[in-house]
Amino acid sequence: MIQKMLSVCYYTIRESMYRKTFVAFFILSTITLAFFLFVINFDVVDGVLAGFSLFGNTVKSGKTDLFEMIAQIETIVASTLIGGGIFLSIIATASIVPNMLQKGHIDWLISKPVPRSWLLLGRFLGAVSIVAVNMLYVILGTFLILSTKTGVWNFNFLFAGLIIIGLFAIIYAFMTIISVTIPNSAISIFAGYIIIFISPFLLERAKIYALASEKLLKYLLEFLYMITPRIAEISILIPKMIKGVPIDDFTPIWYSLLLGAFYFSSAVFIFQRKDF
Amino acid sequence: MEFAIETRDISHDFSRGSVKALSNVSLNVGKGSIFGLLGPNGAGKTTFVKILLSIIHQKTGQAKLFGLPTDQYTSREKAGYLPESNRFPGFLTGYNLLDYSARLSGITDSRRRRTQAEKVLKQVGMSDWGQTKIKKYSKGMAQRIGLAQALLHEPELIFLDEPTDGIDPVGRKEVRDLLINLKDEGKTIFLNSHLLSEVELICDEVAILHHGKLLKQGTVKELTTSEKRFKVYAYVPEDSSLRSEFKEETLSIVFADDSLDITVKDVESLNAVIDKLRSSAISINAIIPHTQTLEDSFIQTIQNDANGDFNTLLDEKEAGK
Repeated sequence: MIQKMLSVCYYTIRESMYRKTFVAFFILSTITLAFFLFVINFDVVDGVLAGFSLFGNTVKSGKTDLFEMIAQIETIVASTLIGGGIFLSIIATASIVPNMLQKGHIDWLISKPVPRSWLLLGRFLGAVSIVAVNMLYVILGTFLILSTKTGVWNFNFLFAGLIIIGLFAIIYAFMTIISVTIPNSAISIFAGYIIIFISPFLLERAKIYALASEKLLKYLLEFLYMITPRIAEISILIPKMIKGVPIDDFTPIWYSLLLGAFYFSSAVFIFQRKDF
Repeated sequence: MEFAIETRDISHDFSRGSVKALSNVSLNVGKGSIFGLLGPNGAGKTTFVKILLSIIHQKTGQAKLFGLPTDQYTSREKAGYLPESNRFPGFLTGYNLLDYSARLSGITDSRRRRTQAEKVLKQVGMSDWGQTKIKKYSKGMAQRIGLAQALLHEPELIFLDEPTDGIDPVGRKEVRDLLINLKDEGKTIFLNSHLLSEVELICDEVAILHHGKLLKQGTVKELTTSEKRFKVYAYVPEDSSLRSEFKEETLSIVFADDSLDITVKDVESLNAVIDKLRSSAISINAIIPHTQTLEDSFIQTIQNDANGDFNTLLDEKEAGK
């Protein structure tokens, strides 16, 4: 059965490759890596950053903490991936589940001796895999280039990269529920963005409630906070993690992962009962 | 007799019960036959096939493929399916689609996938188009590749929903021949079609579905042979009193030079006519049941049902319902 599911996953990746969005993503990633490889140069003396240059021009000189500098660059890359990378990935993958549910296609897939849950899992993993490959390309590439140039091997950056991929998977699980309920790419994109955009507001729900003082609003905000992933908290955690700041509470990550599993299980539940 | 398909009291509705799609449909399809499900648009044919393949979940009733309940995915291991208006991924080539299909059907050996793909592409006349992307296919070609994927894993039961849709007359003949060959190999074919002439040519058994109800089921011969209308080859003199007697005893009678075209209430009435002819020493050369085309039989069945519905409506109206 795993082989059949992997076949769905493989052909989902092929379908994604066929679309040009991921090619554009790959080109952008390559340009970023080329920037780190050829444009930015570090002047490291006795393990300390004496300065660095862009296009051969010195931008900063004087002794700076090397780790701090690298962590800062890695934080910028990670933040770009959270903002831009996930943003683009949502657009690029939004149609994957709705496409599968098209009349004449879904009938064909379901007629095969494969449980529906495995079909959806294959599709989901295919979408997440192609995004993961693209993100790992940027993360691993940045990590290797910066580390070999400076000798600073910040493995926290790799861990942060995995969390970003996990974050996308959680958001995509939510999009999958929406897609199996209403198979429409635009609605799926909207669903993905809405849980990203409401997250910072929900983090500040106490302030919003203080302004409105409406009991019902409080319950609504608490409910929304409970059923949405902790994207804002994770976005705050990631720079800390990269910079080596001790993190005493990983709850936002575990809670979001559990919520992602709940989203996907709900999507399977709906998909299994649906008539096509 | 072993059955490939068994259904009992299958019912289904759409739009929260406002549209009755199937109403207590029970039918069995024996192994190794070509079975045709007929019905006008919206009769419930596609819904019935989709229930058998678990694409739609029936509201009530039981369905089995080769003895396995259809809600078990393993029941589809021996089944192939060509959906109506298929929409295969356009970015794939014909070969890719067949490879994908074979993987999903459980063919793990890549060489076997390749061999099978070549075989079925040849069977459906698409050998030269395997490397072309599906999005470039004409409707007929898409239908052929759909047929190829349905046959790929050598299923014992093949569901075909309007298989010749979009295929030219020569292609239709090829598809018909292919289906007959598959039957000779012992495969069971379940055909959904509104092309009655095709069904008549290849099906062993047919069923007529209308408004979700199964109106008739039988062999093509049974459906096209009238139980009440006969041609009796015998000469009845014009001045014979038998002529007026027969007019009273039959539902209708037409006298020709050497035959009588009679419609009787039942077989007993026919025997009574024969007895009278024989007792009058009239020689009977042959008695042939009236045959009609499947199309005539189909239309008659549908009209009778529609009249029944209309009469029920009138009765209900009169009763003040």
